[in-house]
Amino acid sequence: MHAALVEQAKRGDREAFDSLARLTGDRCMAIAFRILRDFDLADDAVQSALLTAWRELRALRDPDRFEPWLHRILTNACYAEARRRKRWSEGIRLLPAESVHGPDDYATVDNRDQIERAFRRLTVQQRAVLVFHHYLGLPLPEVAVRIGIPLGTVKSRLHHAKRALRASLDAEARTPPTSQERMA
Amino acid sequence: MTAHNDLDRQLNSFLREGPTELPYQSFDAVRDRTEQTGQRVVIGPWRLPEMNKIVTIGLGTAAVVVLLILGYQYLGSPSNTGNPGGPTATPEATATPEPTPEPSTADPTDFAAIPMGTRLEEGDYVFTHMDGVRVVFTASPVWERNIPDWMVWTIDDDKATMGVFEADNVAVDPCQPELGVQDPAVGPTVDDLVTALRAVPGLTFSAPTDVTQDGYSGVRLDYVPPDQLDNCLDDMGHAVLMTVNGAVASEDDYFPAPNGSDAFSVYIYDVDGTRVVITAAYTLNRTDSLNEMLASIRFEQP
Repeated sequence: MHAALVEQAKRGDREAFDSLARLTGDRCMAIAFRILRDFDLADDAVQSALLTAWRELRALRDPDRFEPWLHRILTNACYAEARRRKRWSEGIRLLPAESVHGPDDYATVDNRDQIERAFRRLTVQQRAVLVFHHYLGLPLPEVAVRIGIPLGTVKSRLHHAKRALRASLDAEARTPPTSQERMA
Repeated sequence: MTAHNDLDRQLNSFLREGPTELPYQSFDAVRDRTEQTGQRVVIGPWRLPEMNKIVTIGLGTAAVVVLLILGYQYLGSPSNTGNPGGPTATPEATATPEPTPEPSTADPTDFAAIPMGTRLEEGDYVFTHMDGVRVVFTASPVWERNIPDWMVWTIDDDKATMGVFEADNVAVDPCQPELGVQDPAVGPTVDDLVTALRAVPGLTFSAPTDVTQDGYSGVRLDYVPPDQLDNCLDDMGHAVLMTVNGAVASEDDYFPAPNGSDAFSVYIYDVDGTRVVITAAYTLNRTDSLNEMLASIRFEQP
């Protein structure tokens, strides 16, 4: 779909790349936010990824694979932003529950907050696998391509991520969070 | 319903929440940045046996970095900055570099804290990602911060990179990333890593030569082309060579492939028990500034 624009951009056409960025940026933002759980970090990651894509675009062999290629760059940009946050931030802040889900999705707001906290406890690599698989709905082999890791590693991360989520949720069910944890 | 019943459905609902649009100001910011940023030049078709390149990829279970190169020029050791280039180096490449900058008395800037894509100002910077050592270097304005946060890139098409990290293992076979890394892992000494790198199938390193940097002894290996990894590269020209421990928190950092690079050298030092690996990949046009940066390296205690 973007192949013609990619070809133009590879030849240094900044207008074409700007069009590509506007075609793909929103989706990148959705992915980055869901991995990082922070709007500003996600914004930074997307900008960084798009700039890297511009710089490295001539290395892309198949113009039809622009978006998967961009998503791989984006994933690494998210990892970098997560490291930056880890280095400079003392803690994390839960975002307010901007609920768009139906009443059947969560039994209570507490359940939604529980999964938020459990998700945040995952490594950023595990979150990425979950986002590409559950949010984008990609099959695992395509997740492997987009993230740039072997299929076996994708499966392993997915398994461990879900196991960790379940463990966190089980622990939360046994021990309700303190008010400080809710606000942390 | 408890929180963990039907985890997939809850997860799907949870992930549907949140923003789905990039702010328009961010699009404008990207556009502004691209106006100031050139594209890296890829020389020739993607993969030809005679082509010079660097290739890297992230792998597997530990923080894995892959680095692989083709080239025929090699760089003088960090302690031998005035003699860059190999037998076929061009006059430009072998020109006497500018004097090594004196270390600044100002506190070095944390390299990882610099925004991605930022051109460095003349001054001292420090890699702080290793537990056992801080690595300070002096950069000129031809370098920039980019991904990953333990590698410095040139800002233009005369590509060169300098990576600084702590390597803990080596791939079994860069052409077969599914085989992972060596088990048992490579031993902890400089010699252990040298031996392992020289035994990696598909590529050849020179015999190690002794080098000294900031009073610490080490060895240097130069890649000797050609390699046999033509069919092992992903879309970004990556292949696995070393795992990185301590340098990155991520499993998936990688070096984007500057295919125009001509040469690649690995320096391995034992800095008070920390095995520091410094990689230098470069084209001839950047040997001078790269040599200056390599020569400026100082090892400090955290």
